[in-house]
Amino acid sequence: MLKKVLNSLRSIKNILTGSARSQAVDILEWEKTELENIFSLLVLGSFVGIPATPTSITLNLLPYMENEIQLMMDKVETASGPISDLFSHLDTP
Amino acid sequence: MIKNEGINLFFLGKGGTGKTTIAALTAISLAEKGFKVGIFSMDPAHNLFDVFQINSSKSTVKLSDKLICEEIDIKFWLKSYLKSVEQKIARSYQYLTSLSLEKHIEILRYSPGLEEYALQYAFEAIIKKYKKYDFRIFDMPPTALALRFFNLPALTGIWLDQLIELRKEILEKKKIISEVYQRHPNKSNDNILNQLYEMKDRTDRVIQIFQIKLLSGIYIVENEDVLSMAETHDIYQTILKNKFIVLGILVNKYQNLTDVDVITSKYPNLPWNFFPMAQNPIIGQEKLNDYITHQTFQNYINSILTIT
Repeated sequence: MLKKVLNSLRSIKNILTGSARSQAVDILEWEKTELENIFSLLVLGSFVGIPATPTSITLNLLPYMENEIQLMMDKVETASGPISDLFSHLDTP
Repeated sequence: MIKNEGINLFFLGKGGTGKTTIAALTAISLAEKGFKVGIFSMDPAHNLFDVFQINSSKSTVKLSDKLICEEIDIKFWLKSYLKSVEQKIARSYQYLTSLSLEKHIEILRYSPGLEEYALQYAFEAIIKKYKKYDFRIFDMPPTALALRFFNLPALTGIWLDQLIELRKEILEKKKIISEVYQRHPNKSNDNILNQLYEMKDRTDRVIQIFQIKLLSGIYIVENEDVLSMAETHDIYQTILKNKFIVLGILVNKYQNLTDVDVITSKYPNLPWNFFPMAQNPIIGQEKLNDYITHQTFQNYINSILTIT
């Protein structure tokens, strides 16, 4: 019985600690993601129509930027979210 | 600090002023004085072999024990660079191996900026390959491409500095997040940051090579006509902006139509050399050998030797 209570307390403590940690780094995580996105846009910008780095830098970094490209693609989807949302509301009869 | 690995001499100027001929004459003359010399044409429309009257399908020809002559094939260097990028991409993005990367990479050769990068790639390879040579002489392409080649390292350097700062900031934030989650971050270095540092090292080295007088110098070749003089002005301003070394201005095919004092008054602090118009075109080794015996030409060669 005591063991069960202790286990429950331990898992509550873990949940609370995890939640506190998550809150503590939430903004930092967001900042980091934004910076990574800016970095990706700078390096890969020419691929999406933004005047950007000399092509040699882009090509030299390209082999190592799988995660950044993925992130950039995710950001594109998020960015288009509000507009598509708005239009879907306007479309509602 | 770069150790002295021979001197690079670049010949720039408006098309038709005689850059290739002056570069060839300089190479022959220095080789005759016992120096080991390599002369390299960076011009996509080569005529270096024509000046020497070399008839060879090879891109490199040994003219004597002391002198080699090479026409740099920019397409080859571009292809070789893109091939290396393609191999790295194929290694990193395993799931792409089923696609034909070659086809996609091939189109990149037409990207703006890659032509001058291919030149820089070739230049670095030449410096490495011919590092034991006393002089490496570069017959440069037309002004627009030549200036883009000289501007590229500084421009790349600015971008790299910014990207390195940004990447370091990202990594710092990643580290803090990992610490909060009590994860042990992967101690291995960040590939992207490493790549940025590697590029920065290479770029800095090229800039250093251009900026140190004991390593490099630029000669601007012009004629007496207004257009070539105007182009000299543009070239000189760009070179100054990059803090590269101008060793002098060479007035080729000089016919005494304009007074020397009037011509030199534009840049009185620079060394000027005037090479008289030859009776016949200076083509073929015999005619080249004849021309270098002129006193004015010997004075110019001696001024190069004072650099060493």
